[in-house]
Amino acid sequence: MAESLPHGGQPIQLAFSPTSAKESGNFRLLELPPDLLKSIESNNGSPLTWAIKGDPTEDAVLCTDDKTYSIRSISLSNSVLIAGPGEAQDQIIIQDTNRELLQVAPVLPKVHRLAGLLRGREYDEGREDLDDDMHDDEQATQSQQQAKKGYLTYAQALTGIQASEAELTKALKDRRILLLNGTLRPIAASYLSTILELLLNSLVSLQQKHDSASVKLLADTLQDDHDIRPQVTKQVMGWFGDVDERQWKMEIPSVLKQVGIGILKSYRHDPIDEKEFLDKWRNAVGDTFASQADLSLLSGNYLVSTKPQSHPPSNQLTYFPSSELPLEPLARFSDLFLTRSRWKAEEIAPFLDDIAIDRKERDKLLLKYARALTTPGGTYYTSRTIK
Amino acid sequence: MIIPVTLKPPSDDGRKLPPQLANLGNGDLVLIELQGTLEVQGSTDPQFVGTMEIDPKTNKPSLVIGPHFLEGKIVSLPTPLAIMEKNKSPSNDQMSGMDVDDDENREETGVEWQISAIVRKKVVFAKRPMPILNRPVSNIGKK
Repeated sequence: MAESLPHGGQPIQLAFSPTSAKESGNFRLLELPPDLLKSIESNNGSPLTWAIKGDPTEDAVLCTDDKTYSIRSISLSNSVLIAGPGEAQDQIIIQDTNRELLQVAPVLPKVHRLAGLLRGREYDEGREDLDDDMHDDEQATQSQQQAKKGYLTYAQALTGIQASEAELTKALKDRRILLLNGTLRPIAASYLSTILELLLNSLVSLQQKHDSASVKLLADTLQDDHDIRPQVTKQVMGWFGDVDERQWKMEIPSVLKQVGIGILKSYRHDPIDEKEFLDKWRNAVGDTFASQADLSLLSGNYLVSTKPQSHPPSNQLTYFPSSELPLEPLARFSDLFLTRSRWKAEEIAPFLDDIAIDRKERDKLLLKYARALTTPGGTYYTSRTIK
Repeated sequence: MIIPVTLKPPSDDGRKLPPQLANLGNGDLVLIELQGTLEVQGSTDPQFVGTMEIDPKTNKPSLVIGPHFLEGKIVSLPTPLAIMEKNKSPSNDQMSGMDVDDDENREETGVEWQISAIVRKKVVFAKRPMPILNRPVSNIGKK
């Protein structure tokens, strides 16, 4: 080791590595926001399972176990040498020279692609096309066969869709997609309503508590009386509550919401009286839960209008699901303003929730794509396009 | 397409960074930022670039490259950086012992990136180099 220089510091020899020319481009610098840093540092023992996902036609994203991030390359004006230890203790070797930085930002997972990938793959009553009595060891090969038939498997979805595994699992739950023999099958909406109404009725008739109902008893009852596969019933229970080995803790609001949407669906073109709708809805969910059926559960799924020439004035509801609106902000706003020329702030908000990651981003979208009008009656938003 | 990103296991080849640089992050890599680029003529095969020194009192780094003297500083990064390294031949590392089919599958999915180090500080030489006149290289650091 070299002797101390007058500065007092030990000199460090900087050198190129024998392979540095070949290895050029082998390193990337990735900015780590606090949550990513935490995810690495709290990673004790279990292997890190991040992945960069994307087809050549898409912008790549970084997926952790539970989040998705966009990746942006920032050019640097300076060059950054990446150096590592050398043969000698006082030597460092330049491994690579880098002039860019990868910056990540949280984004919504691209789970919307599921809709297109699963078109025509619905699972409905009376369309029994999968073999029920299958043993576990046959399922893997079965899954491959299904893939050949054009069904999307879970593994394919995980590779092909820009989302983390936790987000994909949540999307399957939110979008009511069944996992049957390794393939993804969206459940038909009417069939889902039927199952939920049967579950609500069975809870009452079997005298089960909604927060500790027997999974087996309900699944068996639905199979025996209505020919619904237990595999399906159990997944439906999981979407609408917590299922452990034996008990189902039902989430009342989400069940009521789904049943409500099922009824509302028929009123896409012709509106229904608010009162008439509430009666139908409460009737469908039964006396026990009727009092909890509140319109606020259905926010983002309907439009309210006032019935012309009625005394006293009464409200009418039209089915208008935000899930069917375009995802591109510009297209969504133009659709919204075609539907209505002006919106109250609290009316438009539910229709932006699924394209904005938080309130701040929603306000940004409104600022960019809509014109705010402040009146004594509150803030209204209108189109920026001049007609 | 899917490219796995994993943590590189700590290497055990006994190589270590000089102690002056060891506290810039975790992992055995450091970042040295230079204004402009290092122009290299000919081959970069084991080639000496310069001598760096960190003053233990002021913690200021300096770098001498040929007749140029650069003064720098150690800067904390606003956001920590992960240094990712392309895994060159996965088949040579963990994949040995697996059969050929698996190896082929591996190649379909392409490369893998490994996070080799996390750095929180970097050495920055942002000023223009000063010429060193009439001084043999061995006298670097003297003023």
